[in-house]
Amino acid sequence: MREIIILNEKDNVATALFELKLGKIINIPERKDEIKLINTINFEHKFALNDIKKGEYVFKYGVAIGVAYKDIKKGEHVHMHNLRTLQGENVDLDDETWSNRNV
Amino acid sequence: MKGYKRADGRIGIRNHVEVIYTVKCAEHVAKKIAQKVDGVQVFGYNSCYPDPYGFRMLSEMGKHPNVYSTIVVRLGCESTPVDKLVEEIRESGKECELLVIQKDGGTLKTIEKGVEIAKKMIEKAKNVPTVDIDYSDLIIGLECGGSDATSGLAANPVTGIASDLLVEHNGTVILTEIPELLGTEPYLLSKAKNEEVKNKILDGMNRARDLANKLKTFAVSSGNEASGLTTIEEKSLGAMCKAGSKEIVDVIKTAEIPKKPGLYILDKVGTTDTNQLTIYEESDNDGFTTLLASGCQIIIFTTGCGNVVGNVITPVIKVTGNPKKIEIMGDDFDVDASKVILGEEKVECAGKRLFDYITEVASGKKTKAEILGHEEYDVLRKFTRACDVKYI
Repeated sequence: MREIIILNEKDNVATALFELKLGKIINIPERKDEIKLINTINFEHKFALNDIKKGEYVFKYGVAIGVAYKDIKKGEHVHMHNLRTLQGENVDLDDETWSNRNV
Repeated sequence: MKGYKRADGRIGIRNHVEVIYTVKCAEHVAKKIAQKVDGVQVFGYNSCYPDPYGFRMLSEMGKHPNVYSTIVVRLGCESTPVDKLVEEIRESGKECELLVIQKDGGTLKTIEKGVEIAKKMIEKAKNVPTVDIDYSDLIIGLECGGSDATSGLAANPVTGIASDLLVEHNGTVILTEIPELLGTEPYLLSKAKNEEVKNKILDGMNRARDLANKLKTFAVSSGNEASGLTTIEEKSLGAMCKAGSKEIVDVIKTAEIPKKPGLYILDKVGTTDTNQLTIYEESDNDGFTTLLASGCQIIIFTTGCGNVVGNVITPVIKVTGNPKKIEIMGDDFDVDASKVILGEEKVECAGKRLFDYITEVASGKKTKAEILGHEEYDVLRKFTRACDVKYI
């Protein structure tokens, strides 16, 4: 049974289909790579398949789903603490208080 | 498939008798009438103040082809033009009785009168003959709710297969929630039938982005985030999958009913050039209401976190791709698409299962929400913003 999904060859994140513990080694045969997880990745959450620098796009489905606002390391959890939408106007990448919701 | 042909030519797949209250103050009386007569359902509108959107929704729900007849219960002093509501429902050819609590004798007598009328309506409803119907008679609405990462991996792609099959069989499918499609423009525009449709999609997207930025709120809930989703783009890319791969034939506005088969986008974003800005969709129930107003007789509802709701007029088919939610609350789902993400079922097979299930529901099979008694509704006051239709 597969434990992660990578949807497109352009993607730099994978989705966990089970809880994957910190330190676990994930084999990615199609990329001839293996990744050691830096965080525990919960079911449905994402981790980086390679280093992603602040300001670079994060790809899922082969499409940019946002921009990294912190440097993200290979094997690190990618979520709201380091990823931000490209649909916002005047979004300051250094503004740590930005959120999806103003409520 | 069997359905009901209405006086205005539209086809219903259910035959409800509905009590409609036109202000919160009339809700108790309306609900008592419905409780006392088996098979009668109830919905209504809370505000004493008239609202073009709320009025239009009440009227379209009253005229809906899944409804056989209605009893409108008003208090008497509310500002909503109830006489016009009754007139519009009657013009569609449906029986519609009006009770006014302040004239009909207060709480007890109005309930008594309502019960008497409702009993007669239920008897008459039993005698309505069914007719043969096919997919070209169906308008199917698509809605996501309680989305999670599995929604975009399984439930929505599976729904996309069913959407394609419906369109191939001359059915009509409506994709909505434009603010939850932000970031998918390149794909959606590539599916537009022509330049005009492309421009309509872009226009809706621009207003949706403007609204989100003005409210500083994107349509991503804390539950979406806890379940692995992050930005609106990620949620949108998953949500878009439920439309399937067919050409988008047109963009319709609030309360507009598609006239030809095919895949449509419903744009209910409204104008953002107003000081009456509100969240475009308060809840999934609010979303169902607008789909009803565009004539949907069935709603396909994909949910990963596990939303349990149904609807007072339209069967809601719930699809999930989340294996954990199947384990925890499996009784609430109609179609289990969770084997798709585990690689144990092909998305095409699950999509065909959903298509067959839609066919059965259109023929009378009860959905899980119907069996469990979910009869939710939400008719809101949205000022002029969300309403591109004229009041009267």
